[in-house]
Amino acid sequence: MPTEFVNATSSALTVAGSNALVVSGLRASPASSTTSAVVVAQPSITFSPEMKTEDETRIISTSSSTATTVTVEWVNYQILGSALKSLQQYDEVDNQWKIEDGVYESACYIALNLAAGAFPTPQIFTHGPKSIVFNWCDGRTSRYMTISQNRITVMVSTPERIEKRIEYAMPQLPDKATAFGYLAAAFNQRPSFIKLSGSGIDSDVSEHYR
Amino acid sequence: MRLRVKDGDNVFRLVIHPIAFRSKAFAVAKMIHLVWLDQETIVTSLAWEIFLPTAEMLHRYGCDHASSLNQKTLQDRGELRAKDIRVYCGSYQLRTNLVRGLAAMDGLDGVASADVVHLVEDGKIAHVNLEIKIDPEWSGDLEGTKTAIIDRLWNACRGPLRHVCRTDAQETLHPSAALEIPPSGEYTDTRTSMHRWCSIVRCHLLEFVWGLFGERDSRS
Repeated sequence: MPTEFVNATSSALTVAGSNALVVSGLRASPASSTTSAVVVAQPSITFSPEMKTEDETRIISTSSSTATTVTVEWVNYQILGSALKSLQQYDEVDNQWKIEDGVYESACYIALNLAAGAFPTPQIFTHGPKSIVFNWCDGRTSRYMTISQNRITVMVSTPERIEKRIEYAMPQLPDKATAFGYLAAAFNQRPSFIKLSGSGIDSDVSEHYR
Repeated sequence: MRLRVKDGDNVFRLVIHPIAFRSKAFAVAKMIHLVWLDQETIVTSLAWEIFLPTAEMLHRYGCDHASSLNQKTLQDRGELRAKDIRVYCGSYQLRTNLVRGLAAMDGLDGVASADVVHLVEDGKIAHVNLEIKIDPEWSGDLEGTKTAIIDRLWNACRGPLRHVCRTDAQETLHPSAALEIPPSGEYTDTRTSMHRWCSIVRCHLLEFVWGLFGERDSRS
């Protein structure tokens, strides 16, 4: 079984393994005067043609003695990538639904991290020039991720109430933490949102939300 | 003339295809369609039951609204392409007190007030505005707040009251079939027959009074 890890610290996001996912131009560089990092999303971010064309089942460990399987939905994420691209290029008279380039870049960055983290593929709940909202519905629970150019808001709700709502500023994302890690922390009630073991992200996130 | 709609009154959100759809799928956020009126105010349009006391009147209003949108497109562009044709599909019910409750709701930081006010638009007397004011001092994520508002409004909705306008009856796959039932369930009109008749009489009286004074006020 190949070892899998997510490395968001280099100049490219890479999921190691036999079929690597490489996204060029995505860089997490340290801020000049603080220990936090600034995520710089370059215009060239796309879902790479090297992305896998089939879904993948991974075995992950949830503790030292147990293991479970998760499916990485590469195919659906590729469809999501195409949808994001078309929203960025939306060219209608009424372009209130077109997403700005910065939003598109942030959304691609988040989507890639979600895919790499074996998250179920989100639905696009809504979109506009300033933001795009990813959404997962699971019976009575809805999960949302509102992605702007510089912010992410994660929300979990039920018909009765908003259970959780957490905002993050993109420039404040710690060096190794990604949307995947944040979501895992925010959505920790659901088995399919389990964090992958071996990821360098895990320790940072768990410390952040313990 | 702006009048605060009474607590507990029913208001309805009309569903128009393709505005409330993404491709062929019903899209909640597009149905609710919150727009920024200015830097502090988010609005959407609703219809007030006091002027539309029966489902028939509500649906007639919806069909007329879709028809007027089509007329406007035709006038503006000189043509009405098939993909631009607006089709009324039905409505979702909301209670005004649930809308106003948004301001005090946990998790909706940044919402200073939420209200439903009567605002006649294009001569449509039943038109009301749902207005949400954002606290100007608040520095949180406005887009995230908007998502939370849409989520709460959808959870407060009941319905749908589906409808096929006479002009769209030939549609074999009418988009109203795609409308989803919100988490709060379907809408049931629990009024007694007497109450309904009183509502109809009151509606006609209000329209008469509006005809005498209201239109003059709105012109001035």
